[in-house]
Amino acid sequence: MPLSLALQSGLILAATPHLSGCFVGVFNNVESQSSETSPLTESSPSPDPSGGSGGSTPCTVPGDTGNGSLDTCFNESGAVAGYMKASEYSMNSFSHQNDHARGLVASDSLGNTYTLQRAAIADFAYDYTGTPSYLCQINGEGTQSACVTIAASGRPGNIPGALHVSAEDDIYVATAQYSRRTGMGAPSTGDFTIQIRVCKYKPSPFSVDLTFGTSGCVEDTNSISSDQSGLADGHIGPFG
Amino acid sequence: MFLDSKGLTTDTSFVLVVGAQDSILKRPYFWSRDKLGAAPSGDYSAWATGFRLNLISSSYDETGLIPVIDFGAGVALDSILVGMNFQSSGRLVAVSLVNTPAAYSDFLGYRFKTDGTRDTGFGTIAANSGPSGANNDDGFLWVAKKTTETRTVGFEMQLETHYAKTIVDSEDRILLVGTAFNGTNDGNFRVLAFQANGGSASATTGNASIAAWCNQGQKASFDIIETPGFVAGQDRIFVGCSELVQPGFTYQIGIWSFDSGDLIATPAFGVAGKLVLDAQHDHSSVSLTLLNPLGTLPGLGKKVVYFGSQSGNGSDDVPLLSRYSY
Repeated sequence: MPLSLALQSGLILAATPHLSGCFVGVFNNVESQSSETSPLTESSPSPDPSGGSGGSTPCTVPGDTGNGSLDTCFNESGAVAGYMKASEYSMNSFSHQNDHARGLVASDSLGNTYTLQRAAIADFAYDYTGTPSYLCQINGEGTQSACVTIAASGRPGNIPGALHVSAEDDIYVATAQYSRRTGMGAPSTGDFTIQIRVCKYKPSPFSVDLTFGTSGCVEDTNSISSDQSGLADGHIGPFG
Repeated sequence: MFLDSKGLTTDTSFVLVVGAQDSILKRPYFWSRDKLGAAPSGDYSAWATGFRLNLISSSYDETGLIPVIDFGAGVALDSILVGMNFQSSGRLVAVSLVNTPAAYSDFLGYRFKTDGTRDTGFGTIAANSGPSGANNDDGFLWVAKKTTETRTVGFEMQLETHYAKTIVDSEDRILLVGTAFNGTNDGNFRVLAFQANGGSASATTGNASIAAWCNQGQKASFDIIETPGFVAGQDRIFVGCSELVQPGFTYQIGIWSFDSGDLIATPAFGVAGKLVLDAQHDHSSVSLTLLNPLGTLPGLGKKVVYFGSQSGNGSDDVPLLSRYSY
């Protein structure tokens, strides 16, 4: 059975090929100003929805007591078993050093893990103008991944705000767009506004849900006026 | 019903979006704040006019945005909102920093009813003794009350770091994690638990404070999550944070596990409930999630997933995923 068909059919693959280090299913959105999320321009096999360890010889973690043991079956053949760096699941370079752009993680009931973070910029520059955020899906084994670009609006910001996977395995992402720079080095006075954009994605195949809002996103038309006090104003939710 | 009171529909088809969520209506809540006066540059402690809480509730259906509801709009609290979440009743619990004359601020908890008004029956603060004046003090919970003379063990967060996280557990208790003063040093992280009504922590009711410390942690580098569904004896709360290790000024990531019922550290997890991640994780940003928490996926086991970063040593940090059995 062709790999893609097997994956799309949701079957658990025998001897799933390990693709660590490859960029499988990296999607890139076309950035736009309004609806922000265009239909995905590429497609590829979605991650193994089984979430299980798969394969003819199930991976086991030696000495796993279930109490804090590193899961070395995750990304088993990666650079370091048990870990997965961004360079192993996406071709994009990321950074989230500060609390403006804290990386967020969530999981679905299919065994997939999702990460949300902004693109790399010069540290402490705090000018996110035109900087997109990225949502990535990593399958249960850490063998396949897919990413979508959440387009920048042209405003400073596009800060990852919240990541949520619903009970129905719908993935919701909120990002905040600031009206001007904030944070270290930014002007310390003056109001600014925040626009919040929420986009919805489906887990399998990993893609934007075009039935949601306009092309998969809705944008808060009621800009939130906020103070500018240096850091992290106008968060979306409690990062929950 | 909450939405009725605002003239909106109670259509239960609202999708759950992001951030804090109304456990009944499954709506997203975003929050912001408005300043009430000009901020002196670089000296927020002198921002005497304070802030106005401005919680924004936005809901979305499959076609777009549902009108905004403000929680507590216009309520001058002289505080900075840092975290919020919802109890099962739909009441909103929020935590803020209180603007005090000193260099550090106190944490203050408060609760809003489902109609958006503040719940004056919440918490334990004495009437008219709070930070915002005679008519605005009922219904507060002091998470940590500090004066210029006395520091109380608890949350005391530097203004520039204003970030904390608030969750409501399966028993409606309020769990707060943030930067704290531990009696000796500022800048540590701690988790505190309070009764659902904002009552003080009580060992007899299982609401004792959790003594989870991340020494000299990085700002904003912590997370707290609870396993879904409550099963007595099995429910867990995980707390992750980045802590400074001296000498050498390196960072390490610690993940704590607590039994949800009595909030006592899970002895078998890591060492006495604390798992220190290895040097692959050495820097700021901590986010946690649970993979396969119900154990329904074969061959996977229950995992707590860490998402953080590895120091780029002068360049961008490197995001890093890892996961651990529980």
